[in-house]
Amino acid sequence: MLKPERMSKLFVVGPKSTLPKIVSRLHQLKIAHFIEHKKDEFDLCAPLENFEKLSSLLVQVRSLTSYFGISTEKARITAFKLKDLENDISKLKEGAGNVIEKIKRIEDELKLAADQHRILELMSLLQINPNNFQKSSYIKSYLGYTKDERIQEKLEKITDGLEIRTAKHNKQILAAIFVNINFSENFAKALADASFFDIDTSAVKELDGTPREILHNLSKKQEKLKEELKLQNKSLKAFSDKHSKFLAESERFLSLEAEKSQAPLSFGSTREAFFLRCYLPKNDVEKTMEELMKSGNNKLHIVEEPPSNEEDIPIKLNNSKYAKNSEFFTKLFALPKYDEFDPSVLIAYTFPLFYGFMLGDVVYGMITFALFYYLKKKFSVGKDFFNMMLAASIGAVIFGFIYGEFAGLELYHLWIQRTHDFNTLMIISIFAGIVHVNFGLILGFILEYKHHGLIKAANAKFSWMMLQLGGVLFLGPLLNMLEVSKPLFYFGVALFVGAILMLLKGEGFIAVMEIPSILTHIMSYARLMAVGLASVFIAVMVNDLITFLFHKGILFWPLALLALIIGHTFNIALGILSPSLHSIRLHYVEFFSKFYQGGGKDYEPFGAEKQKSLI
Amino acid sequence: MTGVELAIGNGLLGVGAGLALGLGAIGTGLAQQQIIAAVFGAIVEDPKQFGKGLFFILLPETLVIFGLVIAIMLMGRM
Repeated sequence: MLKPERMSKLFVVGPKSTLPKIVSRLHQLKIAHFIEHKKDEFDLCAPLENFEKLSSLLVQVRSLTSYFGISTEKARITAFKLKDLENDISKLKEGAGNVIEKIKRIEDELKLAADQHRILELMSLLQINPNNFQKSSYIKSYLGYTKDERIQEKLEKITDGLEIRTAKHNKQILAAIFVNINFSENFAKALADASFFDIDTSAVKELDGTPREILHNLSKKQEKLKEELKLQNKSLKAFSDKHSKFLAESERFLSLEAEKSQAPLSFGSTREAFFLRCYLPKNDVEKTMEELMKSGNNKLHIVEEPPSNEEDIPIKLNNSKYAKNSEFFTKLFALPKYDEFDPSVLIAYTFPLFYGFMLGDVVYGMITFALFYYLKKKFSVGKDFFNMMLAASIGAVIFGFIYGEFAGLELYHLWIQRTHDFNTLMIISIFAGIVHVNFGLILGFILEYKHHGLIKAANAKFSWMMLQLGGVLFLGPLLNMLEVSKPLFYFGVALFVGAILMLLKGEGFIAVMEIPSILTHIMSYARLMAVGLASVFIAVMVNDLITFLFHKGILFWPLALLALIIGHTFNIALGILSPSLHSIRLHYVEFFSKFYQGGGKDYEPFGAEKQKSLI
Repeated sequence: MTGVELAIGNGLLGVGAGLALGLGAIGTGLAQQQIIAAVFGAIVEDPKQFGKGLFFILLPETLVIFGLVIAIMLMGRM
């Protein structure tokens, strides 16, 4: 429970003829985390025979599903015959291809028409026919914009042999210029100086007639094209609707098959045989060996190898159904290493406890419960997180009953009144800190003891606990916060000094620099009180405002209602954000730093789907 | 102590409590401002850094909480 699942390693050798069956069996079992074979005296294994065909089909299907925007995630896994699939897909591709091509042609034509339309409008402004812009060996023609108002003057200085027409358009000067081709070089320079923006007229120069006439016909043509486009799009939509199920299912099927067929790339091979190494949970070793033997007609050689500690063993967390939800928080920080503790199960209980202590309001707790219940039903991802927040909301309701708080109103007084008993709350918070931090230290002690022996563990972890007790007995009387007898005081001094010496030995000079951190870490749990107080006082202020407005008279009642809704919504939003962040922070910073490093590799068994998470 | 001295003493305690909380909050703000900017950079590069980023963002919040603890302790002496 507190440890990741124990793993074992299998080494499988067999003749290549059994490879497809073995791969397919492993894919079904969803249990083997392959260790990639690195090329040495043994080559990498080649993918299965049908790999190329599968990937080419997959590319075709995916091009269609992405064009039609078909989601394949929820498709049923169906078995197809590859031969049939090949036929069906090529037929579909042809059918879709025809329609898509038609649509593309129409879209191209529409684009050309739009271009022509734009240019012709300009020409009609200047009253010039488009065929004037045809290429000629005597005359060079320009159509374009400039901001230079004296363009005509400037050009006429170069030569008289030019024809120019101008019109105002879009706050610029639209100009059509025709000039003897001999002057075109000088002209190009002059136009560049006037920052003349040339418009490409190639789309219209073959057209005959006046711009008005052509525009009239063009508009008709455009409308017709648009009609046709609509029609084709409709038939495409019908096509995609009709085949979307098949496409989605075949995509699922093909991607699974492709995954299988390229699995051997992680294996090693000789001329006639293949071999593979994989991690799998220790509990499943026997069953898996049996299954594989059956699929390989007993022609396999399978050895179980215990993994060594130096290996980067993949981590499969192993928690009860409820504690599984808090794996989210563990993963958010980092997966544990193989020989570390998995703190999920601890978070699963302390997170709601801390959250509840901070929010501590029956009404708020119920509202957040309803909210997270709704979110859980609504979204497919993040169920684990929402479950944790549901547990946390229950914690808030329970603490709400203890405090007697209902949306900031204290309806009855049980033990603690949060608006007055700051000191009691603070003492409880600090006490929680002492327990939590020392629990972390104990876990750290156990780990150190396992890896480096008792002395190292005592120096590195137990010393922190001595330091706390020594600190209280030694510094308490010095600061006039505590009275102890003389012998006890000297005992405290001895503990304190002893702890520092042990730390120096156990964790080095850096740890000595860190000595105040144990105090700050424990004091940090005062946030359990502080965050809660902030929440209560905002609620109380909102309630005061509402009562004030309520007593002002009936005219102010709508305002009171507004204050009620806005004020409490705001406070609930804070009440979700702040306590959850601070609760998880207490775990990450104060708790984890005593025993947890993380950095494990995720267990990704072959054939299992990758889980989606919130982040 | 006369009543006036007591009143002044109480007033100074109040000022001290306010300073403890306020300065703590400013310190937290200054620290978080830079951390959040850096963390967002990291998250854009690699969304998996979200958890660690959150950890760093929340680190300096301890300052304002210590401020509040001191403030409450001072208020207790009034």
